[in-house]
Amino acid sequence: MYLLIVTLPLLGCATSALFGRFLGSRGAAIVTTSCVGTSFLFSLVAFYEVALVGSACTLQFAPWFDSEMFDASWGFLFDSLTVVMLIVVTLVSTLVHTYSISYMSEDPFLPRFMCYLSIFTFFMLMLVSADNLIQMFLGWEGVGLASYLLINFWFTRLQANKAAIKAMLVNRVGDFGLALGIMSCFLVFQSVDYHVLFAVANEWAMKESLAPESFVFCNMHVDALSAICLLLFVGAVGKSAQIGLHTWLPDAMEGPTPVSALIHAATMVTAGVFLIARCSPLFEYAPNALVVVTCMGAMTAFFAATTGILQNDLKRVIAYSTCSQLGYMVFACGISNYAVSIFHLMNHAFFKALLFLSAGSVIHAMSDEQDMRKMGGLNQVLPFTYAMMLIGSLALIGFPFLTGFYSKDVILELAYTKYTISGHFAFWLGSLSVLFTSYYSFRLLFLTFLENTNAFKQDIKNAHDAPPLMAAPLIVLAFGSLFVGYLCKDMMIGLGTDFWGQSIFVLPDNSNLSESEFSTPQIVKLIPLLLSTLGAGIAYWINNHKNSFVYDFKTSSLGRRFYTFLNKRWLFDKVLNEFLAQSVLRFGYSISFVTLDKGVIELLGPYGIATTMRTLSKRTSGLQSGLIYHYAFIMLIGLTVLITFIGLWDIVSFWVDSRLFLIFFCTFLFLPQRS
Amino acid sequence: MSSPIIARRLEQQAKVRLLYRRALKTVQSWAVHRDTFYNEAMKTRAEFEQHKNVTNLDLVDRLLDRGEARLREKAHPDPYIIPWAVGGSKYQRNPPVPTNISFSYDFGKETYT
Repeated sequence: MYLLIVTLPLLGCATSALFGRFLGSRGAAIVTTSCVGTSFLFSLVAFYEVALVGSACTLQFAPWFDSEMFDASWGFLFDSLTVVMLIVVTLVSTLVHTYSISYMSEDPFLPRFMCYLSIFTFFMLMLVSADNLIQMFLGWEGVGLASYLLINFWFTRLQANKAAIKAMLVNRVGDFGLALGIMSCFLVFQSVDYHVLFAVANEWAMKESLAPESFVFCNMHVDALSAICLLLFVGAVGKSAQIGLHTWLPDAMEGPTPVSALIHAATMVTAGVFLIARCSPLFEYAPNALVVVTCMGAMTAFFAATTGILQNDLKRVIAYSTCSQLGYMVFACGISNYAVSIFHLMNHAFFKALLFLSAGSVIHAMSDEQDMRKMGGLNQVLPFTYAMMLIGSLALIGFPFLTGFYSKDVILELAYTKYTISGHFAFWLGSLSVLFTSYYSFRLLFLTFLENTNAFKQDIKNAHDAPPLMAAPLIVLAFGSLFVGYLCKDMMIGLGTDFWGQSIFVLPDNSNLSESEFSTPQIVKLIPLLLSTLGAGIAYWINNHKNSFVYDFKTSSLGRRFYTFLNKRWLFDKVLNEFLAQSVLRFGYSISFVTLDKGVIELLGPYGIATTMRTLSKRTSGLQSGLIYHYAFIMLIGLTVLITFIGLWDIVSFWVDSRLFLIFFCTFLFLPQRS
Repeated sequence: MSSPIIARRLEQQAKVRLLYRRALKTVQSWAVHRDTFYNEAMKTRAEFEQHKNVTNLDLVDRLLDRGEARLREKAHPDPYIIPWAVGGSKYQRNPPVPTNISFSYDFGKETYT
């Protein structure tokens, strides 16, 4: 059964890929959705057995790399962390498969689309269930590939091509760090198996504290565990779109909306957070790395939230929201609260998938219009979608007793009660992000649903609410967004819970869950709620059609700069493209391609040798001019060089071996006769 | 009027029309609400109307240059684009297949004669 959870989506993918033309759109959709749905049912059983009953299991499937020095096998580890991820991935994937049947029904390439969704699900399941870093890396790269294929699903679109290539390249930067991290793990611990790594990390840290051992990285002596964790974190930064390597995520919205819901909101982008939580036994012994993780997460949460407030594309607002929430998850890991981070990951999967699928419903109804400036008044035309979007937004901003409330507020309280500089840094940036989150969520609701309509008449006339196949997944996700946080809080992050078993490790010194539970001041607990209310109020005031001040400010000189700065994402793309990407591409072209590939290899390789010999022979034949004064000149030069050479022999003899002359003389005697 | 002057005048008229059109589109990108758009569009119209009787060709050129500069200055960083227009969110999505390519939709089920 455990193997079926992972392999059923692969079966669906293979069927759709190989027999899609025979099965047709409907057949391929039924096969793939059934496979993923069955995988979800098995995941529920696995959740019961592993997480609730407490019987974690490992499966050694087959050898993969088997040498004396390096062993890695096909193996699966099903512990609480894995089964939570299994539930999230398979549930959202099943719902997205179902939703896509209706959403993509008019697309002629539905079997290919379903095939890509299933292959993504397979690789994601491989990633979360691997028992070693190499197999995890396989899943990691596989989801990257699936993401590329799905962003580029409408491959005739130039923008989709660019976005897919961007996602691939930016992720490669992170993957390079992750690969180095895995290699460093092997260098230090001689293994890539989770069990071995996590078992010896403690011993290694104790040994390090007594007699520090040097680990040379980039010609510098560094702390081994910090270096490993930071390298693994670089991988997480790329995949989870943290600041610096985040630029691919908003552009990835070029893909169909169900893809955005599945990959770029609920599952793939959370792989980085999963990796950090999975490697918690390593991160716990690298306090410096944890500080970096906290600061990066907090900065991402703040940056993305501010950027989201002035985006006009419906999907881009939600994409920046995802980026911001990923920042929360990462800094929760940085303050050693991995369980809370995974809890927020799970909650976020519900309400973010709901938001994306509701956005898809709006886009579907409005004839593919995505710009919020051309919407408004849709609550009358699409009441069901409005209700879903409202539930998702309220859950996202942490409205009391909805799902987001139980994880986001806890993260902020934990950051506050960490009592470190990085903890307070994260708390304040996170709190400000709550304000912006509330603002852009309500702005989205106002502009799309509540304000006077600004849409084309034809779009409004043709608009229709979600058909049953699209509505059913929304209802399931809405229930999740309403109740999952409340139902699972005590089980997953309650004080003294043994839900996570051995899957997550926190050093006793780093644990502050009880501190936050009992000693957080009341005002600190209220800050997120107050800021959310403030954000909603500001959103109402600014986006009210009777407010002319906002237009005047926006079009003033200062306002335009401010608007451009936030709308253009703090000009990150411009800076990265012009100062980094172009330099790197220029280096790649002129050094790697022109100088090395075409230069050295062509010069010294077979082509180069043939060309050089031909050129040399042409020049040598040019010496045979038949003119007596040319020969006289060469003899004169030759005699001059010879006399000089003999005259300087005392000096030159130090470098020249005189036996060479004998060899030259002998070879001269054996020169072939010219016929 | 000589023909070069008429040609210049016609060129200026075309430029003014284009400028007005682009100005309205820019206002539309900035103004999210319809009421605001109408107000701003009327202001823009009034500015154009103010100079509609100018006949001095050099002055018209100067006014056009000023208008172009103002338009560049007020350009929206993320202008609204209709989904199916160039640069829109639906542009180039599943374009029609060239007519000289034929598809076999009953692949594997053909009846052989």
